[in-house]
Amino acid sequence: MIHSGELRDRTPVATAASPSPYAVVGFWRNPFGELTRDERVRLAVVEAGPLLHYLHTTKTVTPARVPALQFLGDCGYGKTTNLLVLESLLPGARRVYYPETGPRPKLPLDSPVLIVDEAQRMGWWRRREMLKYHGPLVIGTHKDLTACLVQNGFAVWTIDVAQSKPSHVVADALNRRIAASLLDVETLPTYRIEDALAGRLNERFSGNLRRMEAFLYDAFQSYVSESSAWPPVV
Amino acid sequence: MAACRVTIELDDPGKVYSDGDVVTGHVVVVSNKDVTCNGLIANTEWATHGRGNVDRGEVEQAELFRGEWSAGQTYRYPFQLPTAAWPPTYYGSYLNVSHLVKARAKLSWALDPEGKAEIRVTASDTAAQLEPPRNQQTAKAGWFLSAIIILILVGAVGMIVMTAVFWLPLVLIVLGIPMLIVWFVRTWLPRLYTGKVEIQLEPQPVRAGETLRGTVSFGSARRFSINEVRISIECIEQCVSGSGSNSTTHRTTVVTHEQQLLGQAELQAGESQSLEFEFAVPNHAPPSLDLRDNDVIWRAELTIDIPSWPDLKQRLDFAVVPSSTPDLSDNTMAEVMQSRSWLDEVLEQLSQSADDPERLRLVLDAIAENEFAVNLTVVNDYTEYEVPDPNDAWMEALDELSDVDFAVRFAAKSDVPAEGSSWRGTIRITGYLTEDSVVVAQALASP
Repeated sequence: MIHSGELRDRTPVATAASPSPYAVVGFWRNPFGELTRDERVRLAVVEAGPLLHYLHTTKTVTPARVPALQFLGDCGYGKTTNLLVLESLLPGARRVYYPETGPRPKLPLDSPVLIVDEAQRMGWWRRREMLKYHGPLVIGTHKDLTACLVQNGFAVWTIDVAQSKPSHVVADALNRRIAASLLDVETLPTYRIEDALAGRLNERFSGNLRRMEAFLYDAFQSYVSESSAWPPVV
Repeated sequence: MAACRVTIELDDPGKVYSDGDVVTGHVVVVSNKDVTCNGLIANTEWATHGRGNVDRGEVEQAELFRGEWSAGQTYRYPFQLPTAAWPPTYYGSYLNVSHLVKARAKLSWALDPEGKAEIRVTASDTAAQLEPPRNQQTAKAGWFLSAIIILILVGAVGMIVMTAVFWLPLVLIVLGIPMLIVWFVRTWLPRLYTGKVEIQLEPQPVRAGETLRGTVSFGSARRFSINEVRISIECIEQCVSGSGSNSTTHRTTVVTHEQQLLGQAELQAGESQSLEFEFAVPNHAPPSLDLRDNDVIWRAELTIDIPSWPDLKQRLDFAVVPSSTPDLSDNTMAEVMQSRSWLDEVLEQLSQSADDPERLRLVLDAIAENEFAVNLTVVNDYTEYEVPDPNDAWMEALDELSDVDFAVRFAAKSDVPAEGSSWRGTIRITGYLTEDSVVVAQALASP
């Protein structure tokens, strides 16, 4: 038997009996990991007031039109987060997610507000059902559906989620995650992401929050396990 | 200002829990206003955090109080709650498993204040052995449901088959042919030479701290030469974020071990090979985890490198269960973490002084009297380094947190720990091998 092994164990801290490596720097987890749905809603930076106002008042202003909110953009810019926030704020609203493959879910046409995620994936039959819906509609889509919505009597407000967000909004979104992961929220100033850094992140990742979070996850992990600098150099 | 602040005080914060031990402590409420509490709920739970979707399990909850709190008062409510026996606490790179005691005060017209404390849970059995009995009962009682599902599936398959008849030729072309090519190149061609290849691993599952023994056997259907036969053992964290077609799988390798089983050789037709190998699973090795969206996978991959011919690659997953003797006492680990930042600073200084002998001497002099609590993984293969006297009692070890190699001198050869094990103790840094970036140290004590 030839034995020329090389063992390289990159686990940051011993398992089982070890304390949390995050606790050493004042956290209970990496702030930039996946969140539960509830937490995602709680930490989202969404100015919901104007959106709710639009959904509630359009019918009064233009009786012939039904309000439709369209969140348009590619993956990672916050379409689903916006839909989840609105779902939590609109009593009785139900969100339907359309997967790329597999069975197409039925639309809850009896709900007071219909929320459809990944609407560009709907088959023609389901889309026809959605366009016949008479209540306020909120959709998340990669493809602009304005034309067919207008044709079917909707007044459409399109929010281009990929449009550049102000640095302070990006900083706020990231700092909320940090605050929710601290053992003592009083220590937030030490770890806060300043607007200038958020601006550089925004530029580097073209406003894609998911990519920013992935970058910051790795940077924070290095900070905890390898004592790299925090905040990272961008 | 929040109406009240909720914190948790554990009776024994450093305790390591196992087998569903009960955790005890107090929920402390400091009330800033006169408020009505509609329920002070304490619970124990585990949850994953990291790159994957959150998997979680609640163990038990209890209502500790319901009633009025007066401004400026502090209230203490004792609790005792069982902990989960599985999964064990784990801190990795993409995946972490934390066990928490949480308390939440339900208030009217205000955000519910929450407090949480993390506890450490270890496990000495496998997930299957720790599965709650009710899950087994569910499986036994499910035959009727299974029968219905089978009937539905048969119907669905029938429908699919009818539809597929039309599309079958296209499906075969698009999917079948590339798969056939992959199988032909990766399996059929190499086996023309090697014949049937078998990997055997024992014991299965293997416990952290034990040695995994393996045998690779293959024959030679015809005369051929090989460049090498090697086995690589990897531990991979695999996490899924998102769902459906929006899901992303994140993988990172947290342990890698490569071993050459056979070098260049000429094999005769009909000659069979049986190669053995061993892998000392570190005492703190991540346990195999199979949670919904978060897994820790241990895998052995065999490569037979045949010159000018496709290599044979064969994989075998195996399970690692947690060590029965967790390798760190509470006090020692706390000590390690406390001196950690100072040690990191020193290692950084040493590394930066590598090209400046004068500065290096200054750093070494400055820390000559300092003692550092460390937790090192023993490698014991320091032949490539020029330690002062290789015949002396030296251990080469890796500090995983900094990825820095240490050569540690012991008083006697019998004190040098076994390869692959973890060594925790106190050291004094005495030198730095600049060419190899190895910290030379003297072992002072181990618990």
